[in-house]
Amino acid sequence: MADYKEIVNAYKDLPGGLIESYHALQREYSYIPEDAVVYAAQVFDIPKAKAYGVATFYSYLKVGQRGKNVIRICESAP
Amino acid sequence: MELVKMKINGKEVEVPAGSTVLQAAELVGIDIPRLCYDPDLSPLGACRLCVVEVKGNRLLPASCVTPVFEGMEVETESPDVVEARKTILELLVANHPLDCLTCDKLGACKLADYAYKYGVKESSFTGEKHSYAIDDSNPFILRDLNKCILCGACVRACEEMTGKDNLSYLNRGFNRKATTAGDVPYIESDCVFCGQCVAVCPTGALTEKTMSGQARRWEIERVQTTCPFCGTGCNFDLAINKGKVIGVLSNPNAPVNGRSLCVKGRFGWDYIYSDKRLKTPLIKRNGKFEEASWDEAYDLIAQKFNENKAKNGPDSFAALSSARCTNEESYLVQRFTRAYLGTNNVDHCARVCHAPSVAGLANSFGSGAMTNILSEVNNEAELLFLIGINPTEAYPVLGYKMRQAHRHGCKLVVCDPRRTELAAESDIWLQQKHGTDIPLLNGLMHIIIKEGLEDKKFIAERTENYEEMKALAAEYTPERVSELTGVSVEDLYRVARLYATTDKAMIFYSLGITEHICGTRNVMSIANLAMLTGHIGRPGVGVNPVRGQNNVQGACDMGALPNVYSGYQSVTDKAAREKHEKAWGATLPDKVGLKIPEMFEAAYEGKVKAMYILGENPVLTDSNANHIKKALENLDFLVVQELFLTETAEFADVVLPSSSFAETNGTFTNTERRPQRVRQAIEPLPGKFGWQIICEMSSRMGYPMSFNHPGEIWAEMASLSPSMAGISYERMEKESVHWPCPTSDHPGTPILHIGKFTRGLGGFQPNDHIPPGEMPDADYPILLCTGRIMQHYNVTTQYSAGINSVWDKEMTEVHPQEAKKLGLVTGSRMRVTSRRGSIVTNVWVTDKVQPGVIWMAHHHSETPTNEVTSHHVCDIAGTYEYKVCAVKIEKVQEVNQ
Repeated sequence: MADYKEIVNAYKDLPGGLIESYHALQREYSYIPEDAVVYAAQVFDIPKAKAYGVATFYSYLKVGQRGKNVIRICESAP
Repeated sequence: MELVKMKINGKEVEVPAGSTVLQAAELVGIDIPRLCYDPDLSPLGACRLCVVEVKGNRLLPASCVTPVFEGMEVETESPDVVEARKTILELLVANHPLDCLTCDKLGACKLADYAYKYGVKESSFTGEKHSYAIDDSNPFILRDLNKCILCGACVRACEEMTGKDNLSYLNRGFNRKATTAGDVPYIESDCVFCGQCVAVCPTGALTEKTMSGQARRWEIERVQTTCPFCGTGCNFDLAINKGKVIGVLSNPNAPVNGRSLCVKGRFGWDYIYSDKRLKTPLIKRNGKFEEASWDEAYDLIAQKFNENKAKNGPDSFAALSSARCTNEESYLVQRFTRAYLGTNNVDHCARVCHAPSVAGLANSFGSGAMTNILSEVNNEAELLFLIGINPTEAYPVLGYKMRQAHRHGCKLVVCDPRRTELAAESDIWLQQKHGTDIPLLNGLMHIIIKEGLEDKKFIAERTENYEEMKALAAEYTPERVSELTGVSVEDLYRVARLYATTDKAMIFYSLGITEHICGTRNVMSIANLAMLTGHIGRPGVGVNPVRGQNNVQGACDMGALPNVYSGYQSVTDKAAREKHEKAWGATLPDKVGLKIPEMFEAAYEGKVKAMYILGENPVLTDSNANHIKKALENLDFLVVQELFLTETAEFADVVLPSSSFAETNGTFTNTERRPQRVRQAIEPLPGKFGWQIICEMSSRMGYPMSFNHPGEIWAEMASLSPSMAGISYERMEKESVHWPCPTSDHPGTPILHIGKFTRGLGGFQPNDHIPPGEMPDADYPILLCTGRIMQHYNVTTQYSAGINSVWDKEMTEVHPQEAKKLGLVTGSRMRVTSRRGSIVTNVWVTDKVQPGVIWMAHHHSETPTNEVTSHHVCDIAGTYEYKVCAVKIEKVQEVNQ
């Protein structure tokens, strides 16, 4: 698997690159490793707590390990 | 100011344009309920409780973020508004424990207050409730997020007051919480425990742990006082219940700090109740301390001090006052020392910190104190130039202010060999080698002169000796300076240009400048730089030494120095002496007394035979401590007046217990020359006030000093000191002024040297590089630098149960390079040995320090850092060179306890 640092670095100069990097991390790992959140905070020069805030805000993103295949169930009526 | 006419609740009002509706209403005495709004924080407009009805507006806007406009008509309690507020409150209490019966915040809880106001008993909304575990991980703050209403005040306070950015929102929807990165307990996060989050929390989510279960809020009596730790001069309220301090609460009217405090100020107060507090006098008999009555103690002191005076003469006595005691206590100590014991041998610990500032700035400008004031950091400065100062640790609230200034666009330059927090955050960090401040400053001046950026008019009109300065600076070419300091030529140019071309550039420095063999010359070099560029005598500029202890400015002002009476009147000045002789009814010595290092040298040699020490602990805090111990052992008679049986008190023949800041009235003068009241909150634990003990002791010796209240002591001092004559206790109740303040109608002097220096012309004092007295060599290859950490103060915090339960040991910073070489990891034990002593410490591996350097604090008696520090002193001010000495380090093979 690719190094999370490389993945985050790739979005360093992109405006709003933080979320893009989270997407890329999730594509690679199926989740966002905690270390990657801390690293992203450094790279994008934002507080660690904020980096966590963004990473946990979107239900699609998952911080911390989970399985490779994710089953999603829609709870709302069609 | 442009005014806008509008109607609030049918009443015509005029309010400043740009106000919000909430502010406008407040101005005319109408209180609009609010939860997320806080005057000290950026507006959020999230809680919606402050909604109002605006005529012509279909929706109910949040008044905290809605600006006023001409002709606006607002209703703050209309039926629709009340209905909306009720719904909001019902939604909030739907997911709230409603355990108000046992909640510590009730009485100061806004949620409860508004629920009461709008009759919200329970919620019609039902659903899942949070059941978060309570964060009880630390000794200071209880965090119960079940009571959190997500107003975000804590998040904003952490960011906008302290700037630690430790909190943010995590998750969303029902699971949203305001918490740390990774939702870890506070103790595992980057929290600095300043408690600003607690101060702004409107509910019981964040509370002071020490106050838990101690009192309902309405039972608490609040006594505003001044913090006993660093020299920033923060004010806060001591929370008192049934005659006992139970906590510290922010006071929004605190002139210097508002509601901001640091961990020491907010949570370090509990040292006053340490079971190690002394409550009765102790007399040493057969090498052991025995409890004694006040009379026995006073009688013995009177007998011994009188015998010594008769037998060995006045100069065989020496006294130390303290930068931690009140002004009034310091004044009394120097008075009885001079007037009764007949010697000017009186000094205090400014000698080991800022004596070079007093001497250096007096030389350059004529006055040895901060030229400007702290509020200018945020209101005026465009550039903060920090050299040898670590504000976020040593003066945390000032550090937080500097950080906020920087975040709001003020440039920040930090010169420090060590990567301090602000160095890491700065625009430019000059990491000079230890002990190379003079070449660095000369090098900056070289560039400024070379590029014609000096202030020619200022130099011509207001200074003298410039040609000599110019000639010396010419020798400090950027290349040479770069070689000496390790700072790149490019950075030297950047900083020189930035400082010279910024109109409002303030210099702040501290012990990184003064605690060197060339401390006074370092200070004068800073003054040279400021004069060269005309950065003196107006708002937002100046040379600002930041004082490290609560009353180090005051103890100097009071004349607890061997060369001056209060208000810096020289003991060699006949008129000043005669004035004091008349006031004190005594013949006064005209010879300048001994400085601290000279006192201990004289004691070591047997020339000083008796000493009185008030609230100082030189055994732990003075350099080359083994030498100090030998000197103390050599004394015939030593009296120590203290809160605790300190390392120094152990050497005493008589120990007098004293009163802490919470137990006495008095004043502390902060670093910006601002005397502030210290107010008695509880009865003195030893039964007597510190000032009273000094008076009684002196009276017993045969020199009566009788005062009924510290206000009378201040009044006597002020009557003798022209620079403080206009300040009285009555005036301090009403306003807070900076000395010089010669008359009661004088507004005080926030900025010194406007139009003219105190000494007339500002004097350039060119100085060549003087290397430290001891540098690493083959035998002692490592450089040791020392300082203070945020959680501890020089003394007293070690007796705080809260602080000491978390930070209980020295953690010496070691660069990874040395760590690797010696096989050290964080937590390893390490021996540090110099030519003067050898101690064992704990290792913290970090690249904050340069390779080849270790950094230690001096707070813990188990690791008496000053047994190894340098014996070299500043040749002018007598200050020890704490910042540089040579040591060797070795790993200690033992299990870390």
